[in-house]
Amino acid sequence: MFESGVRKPSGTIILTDARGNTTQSDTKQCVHCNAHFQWVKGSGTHRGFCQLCMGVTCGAPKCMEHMAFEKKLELYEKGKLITL
Amino acid sequence: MARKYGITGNCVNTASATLPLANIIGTAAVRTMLYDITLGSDATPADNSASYKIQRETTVGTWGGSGGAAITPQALDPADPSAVTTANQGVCSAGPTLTSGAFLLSWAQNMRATFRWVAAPGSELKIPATASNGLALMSLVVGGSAVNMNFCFLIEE
Repeated sequence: MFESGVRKPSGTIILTDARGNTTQSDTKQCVHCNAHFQWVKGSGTHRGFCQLCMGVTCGAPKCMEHMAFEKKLELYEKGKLITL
Repeated sequence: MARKYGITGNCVNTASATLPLANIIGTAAVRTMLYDITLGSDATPADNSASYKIQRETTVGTWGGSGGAAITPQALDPADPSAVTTANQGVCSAGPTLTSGAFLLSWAQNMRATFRWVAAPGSELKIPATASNGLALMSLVVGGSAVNMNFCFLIEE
């Protein structure tokens, strides 16, 4: 279907059609918001890379600023962050 | 070692931005992690499609609509105790509070196909250890008719 293999995938999608054929593609996980997204070469979608977390980000504006997801979780659980 | 549980159910995938098809609710005791999703249909095959998303939520909602029911997660290892995580399926009569824009996984699917997503170890979708927080399975757009969909979530806690 499309070339989507990535190094060190964060997840894998397996689609099985009505004839039993399977299509597999990989997902990467944003280090700032925990979301998974498909990594499609040549898609033109802008993603990011955090040099402090050393990981890819989803490209959403809210994820451009560095705050590791684990830190966000801790702050949220302590009531010091309104939303994840 | 984390305890693993299975959550299975079904629901008609009526399109809605406010009423989920199913949800998983954590507690303040543990960080529940979703690591496997399987979604397919048991309805008569036809070319109906829909787009699905996993979205964060901060309240449980009221699952009193048609087909609405609580689901008890089943331990994959029979020696494990009951899960503290809870789940619901069906149609909400009052939707939960969904976190705007917090979509953790998105995909589109024809009902003839079966979708499965598996997280790599350490890359699971995490629910904060906060009461009533969870993840909701949303069907935002339906192409054709709404049909019954069957889901299976595998979680760790």
